[in-house]
Amino acid sequence: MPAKKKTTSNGSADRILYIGIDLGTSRSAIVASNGKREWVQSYVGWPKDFVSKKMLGRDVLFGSDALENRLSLRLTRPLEQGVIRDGTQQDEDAVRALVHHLIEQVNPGKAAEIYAAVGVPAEALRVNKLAIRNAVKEYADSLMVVSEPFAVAYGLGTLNNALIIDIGAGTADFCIMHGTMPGEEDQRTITVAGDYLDQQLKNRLNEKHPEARFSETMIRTFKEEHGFVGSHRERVKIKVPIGGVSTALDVTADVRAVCEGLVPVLAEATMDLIARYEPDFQEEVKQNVFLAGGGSQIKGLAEGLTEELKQFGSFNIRPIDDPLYAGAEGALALAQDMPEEYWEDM
Amino acid sequence: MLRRVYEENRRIKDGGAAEAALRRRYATLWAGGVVLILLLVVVGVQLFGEEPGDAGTPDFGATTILDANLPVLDVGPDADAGLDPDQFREMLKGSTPLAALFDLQVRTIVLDPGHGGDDPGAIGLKEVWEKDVTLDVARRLRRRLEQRGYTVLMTREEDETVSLRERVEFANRQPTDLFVSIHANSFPDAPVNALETYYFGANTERTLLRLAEAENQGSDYTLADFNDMIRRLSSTVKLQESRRLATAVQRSLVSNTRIEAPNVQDWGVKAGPFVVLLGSDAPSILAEISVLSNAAQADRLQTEAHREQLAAFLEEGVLNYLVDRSRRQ
Repeated sequence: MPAKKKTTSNGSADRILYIGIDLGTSRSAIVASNGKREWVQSYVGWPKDFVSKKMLGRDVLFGSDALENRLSLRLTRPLEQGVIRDGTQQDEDAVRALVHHLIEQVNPGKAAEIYAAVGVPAEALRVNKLAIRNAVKEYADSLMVVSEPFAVAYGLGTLNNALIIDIGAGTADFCIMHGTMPGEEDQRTITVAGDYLDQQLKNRLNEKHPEARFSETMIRTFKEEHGFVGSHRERVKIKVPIGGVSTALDVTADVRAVCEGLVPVLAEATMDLIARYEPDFQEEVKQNVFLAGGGSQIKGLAEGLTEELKQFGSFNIRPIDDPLYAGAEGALALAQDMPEEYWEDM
Repeated sequence: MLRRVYEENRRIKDGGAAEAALRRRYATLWAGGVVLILLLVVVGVQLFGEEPGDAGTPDFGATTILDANLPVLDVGPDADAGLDPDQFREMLKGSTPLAALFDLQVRTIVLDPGHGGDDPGAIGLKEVWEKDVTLDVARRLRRRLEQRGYTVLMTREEDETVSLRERVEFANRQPTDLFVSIHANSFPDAPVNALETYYFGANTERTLLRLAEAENQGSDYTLADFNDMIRRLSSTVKLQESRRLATAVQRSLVSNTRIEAPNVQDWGVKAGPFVVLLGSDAPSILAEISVLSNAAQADRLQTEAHREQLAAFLEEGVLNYLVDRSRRQ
């Protein structure tokens, strides 16, 4: 790996670059104190052989670039299921390469000292704490790792009596905020999330349209563009190749059924977590539920979840603004608020 | 709040340093061991007085070591250093499948039906008792695995009281290759249906500690026993294989259960402080295969067909783990 820490011998406060990174299963984003922000799909690919390498002219490819050239690559999404998969050195290398790539995107400059706060899926923080730290520390002079929903909450300033539901690709992370850093008992992770919905949708469509061919990328795009819960006036029509001919299919009912499958699972986990919270503050939490992550963009999800939870009382559930960068912005805010002496010790 | 973030990260960082130190110790011990073996080889060669490989000579020399299916480690010119520590760090870290490296086979599987006798375990809706479910599913799983040629032993055959210590000692007396403890969850205060599988590890989550406390009742271990077991837990093979087995079983339980109960939650593979997992020398897991307090699950658990299904899900998980192992080998 070519890049190394950016430390300078005389680093001073005005030369520090603070960065917040949201390392996600599907997308990763970075926001820096120099005002730059970028995101990339969390794909990393290495050329399969010397022919691919010669053709591509690069040692490693990222994001949509990697996806477009996937046939020539060993392609990986390193945080599949929200964690670095057990025993796969390739995935650890991929996290390292992805972090390096992200940092390069915000032009840290040769003289900058980098203080990085990284939000990762809650399960990754539980399972791969050290691996994540090791992957990132190579490129940062000082580093803090936090769970993704906590980073989102910090960025929103919803630090007390609030529930963050971060619906990512690999996992949906639930985190109750109660005025301090959440512990394991305040968090819950389920794997019914974006990838699960994609699989369900693919199964349904394959069953209904065996003559058509659906790739995973296609399915993910359908869901992201058209996913909805509840009533929806517009029909969802997609074009897929059947026998080599592009054909329009009406998939409204399938998209709706799959997305609505998410609602009872979210409701069950939400109630489970709230029921364990301090009784005096449960009602307040119900009024401060925020949906984050890519899954929060499913149309009508907040309303559907509110309806599902009606039997347990009144809820105020809102999708957050700017879900793509919310985690990274929160991590950056945390990085900038962190006292200098803490950074120096890390 | 920021201070807690800092302290948590400090712990992770210090944990990494401690782990590295531990690995260095392992490397030193291993290096010492290899140097000792080489000394024995040299002494052996000198005693026999002939070059290794000569006709008629028992071949105890270097060839024997190289022929063994062990990793050949590069002993550099610096005898004190012995081995390249990087190689050892690589071998001892979680990603290297040591069982595959040493071609370790699985023949004997011990099943541990949770609770029994005076200890009913959780009592769910419809009077479904955990001790009955675990025993019935274990019997069915035994039959299935035996049909595949494995030797299957059970820590209890009937509705009898067996302490956790007796279960562990039983497993450790046998040539146990895998240890599977079967349990069922109960959450009387929450409408939850969830599956989870554990291998031994420290975890301070409050709810988990409560569950462990319930499942650990009647362990009759002393603190000294416990400390001794903790010391023995340094086995990297056991940890690696336990985690892999737990992952395979959890995947099978969740994917199959979802066919009929799509809303079942996957609480995943977790490290948990369960005494039976700590005490057993073999790779060990504890699977919570259903939730007795969930009305729909309690209904289904009353049918033989569903208990047979659960045994089949566990069987699939164990077999997937074994297939994965054989691929790694």
